[in-house]
Amino acid sequence: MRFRGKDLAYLVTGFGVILVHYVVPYDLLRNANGFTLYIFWSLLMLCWLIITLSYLRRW
Amino acid sequence: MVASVYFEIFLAMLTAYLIIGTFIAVISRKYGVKTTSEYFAAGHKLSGLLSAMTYAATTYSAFMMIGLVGLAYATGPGSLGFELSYLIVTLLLLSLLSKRVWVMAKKKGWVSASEMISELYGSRWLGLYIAILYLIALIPYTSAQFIGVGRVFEGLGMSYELGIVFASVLVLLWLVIAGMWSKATTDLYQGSWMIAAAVIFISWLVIAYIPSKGVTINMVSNALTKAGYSTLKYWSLPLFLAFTIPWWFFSVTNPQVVRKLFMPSDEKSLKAMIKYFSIYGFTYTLIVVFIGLATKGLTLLGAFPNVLNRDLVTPLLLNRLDPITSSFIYVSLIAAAVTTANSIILSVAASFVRDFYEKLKGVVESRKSIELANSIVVALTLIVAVVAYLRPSFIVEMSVLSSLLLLPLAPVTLGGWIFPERARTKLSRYLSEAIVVVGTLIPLALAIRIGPRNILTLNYLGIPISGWLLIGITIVILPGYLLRKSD
Repeated sequence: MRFRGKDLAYLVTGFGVILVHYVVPYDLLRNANGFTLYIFWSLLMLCWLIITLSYLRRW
Repeated sequence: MVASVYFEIFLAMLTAYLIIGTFIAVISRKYGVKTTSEYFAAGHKLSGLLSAMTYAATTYSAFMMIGLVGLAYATGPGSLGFELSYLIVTLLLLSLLSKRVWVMAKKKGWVSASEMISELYGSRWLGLYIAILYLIALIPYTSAQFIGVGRVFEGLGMSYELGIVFASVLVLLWLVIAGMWSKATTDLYQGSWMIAAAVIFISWLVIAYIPSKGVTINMVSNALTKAGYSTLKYWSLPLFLAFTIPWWFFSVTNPQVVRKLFMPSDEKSLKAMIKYFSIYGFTYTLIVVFIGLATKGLTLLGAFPNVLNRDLVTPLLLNRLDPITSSFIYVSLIAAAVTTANSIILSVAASFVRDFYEKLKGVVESRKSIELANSIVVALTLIVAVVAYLRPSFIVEMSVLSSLLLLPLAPVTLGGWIFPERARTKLSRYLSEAIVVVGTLIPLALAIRIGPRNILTLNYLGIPISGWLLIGITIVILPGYLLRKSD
């Protein structure tokens, strides 16, 4: 299987999202208040959802 | 008197759910079930919406509304990170690889996940082993779904056994009527019920219940901060990794969802499946975790009792709702359990019919195969019901272990999907056969030695056992992919 440019870009972005998903809460948001972590993970997932939907449009 | 009204409304709602679902299942017979491909994979002709809803309803079990609400209540926002990590990785895998798998499945006529691995590696033996592995790993998990239904019945004043009988009848009825067609159409119905119930639940909590206590969301937020429930104090990084890693590859290792990739009718339907499922999963997860967090805030403010058994958070909230709405949500819990259970039973049956009967026999009569499929579905449902009735202590332990037992299939499956021509080399085949056996025996041996719950959180250098398993298995199968291109 050969990944085309857009597949590779999507894969790399995916790894980036996973990294952010794990690193930011344990580093920058270690002392988060109220719903901050909830909102952070929701927004990150929303961004990933939008990226995925636009990737699927160009399938 | 109040209890009796409550009971009657729940019973009426349950009857309506049963009648409407059965009507839908009967209507689905018009699509025709003449071959095992139609029985197990809806003839690879599912629309995008049906594919998405059956994927979502299968994935999201009763764990969401009971277990995840409780987990958010007890441990804070880390539970959202835990559940969303599954969704992030699943979308990545589905978007990159599902088209490839779907094309292969159409070409080769796959209906079972074990058959897929068996053909990718050209190893009949591997298919047989994996079929048995599915049975061992997933039957306890399916029984746990039946136990959930039994407990809902018990909680509402009926007998636990009646709940088990109800779940068994429903699973059987909605599978035997038209196989995957009745399953997919009732999943659309049940998945809609589940998401509608979740939206109603959170709306009631935010619009009616929280203000009725003289509390605002701001006060809830401040209370969570004060008590430390806004951070990851209950989720150390090794624990977070231990919980999340086994679920990254759920979409690759669990037959009930792997098989869903074979079923969309065309590329457009496959794309729609991923699109609608992702929106469904995102919405459902956010709602469920918010309910748990907000309820914790209410407890901290003294507006809700302190719940020590976290599985009771949802039932205690539902007790505060009017009978009609709470019955609607209770039925959604039953729907979530039924969709997950019947999906697993159909998937295990598909593996046995394909790998143990059709592949070994060669030429088979479709009618006989479908009769056998129905018999296996009946037998599996009975086994699941008996295990749920007996409630042996190993049920919960085995349910926890299921994700680890199936994990060795992840590198093997991904390797076969990405490089199918290299998977069929002798070296690849031998290494994969060996590592699937060893990879499943390691968690089993550890489970016997230190207990299933403990191995999930066991870690070395901060990396959990699941991480080491994935690394080890990938290293072992790698030479098969690197050394020779083909036999």
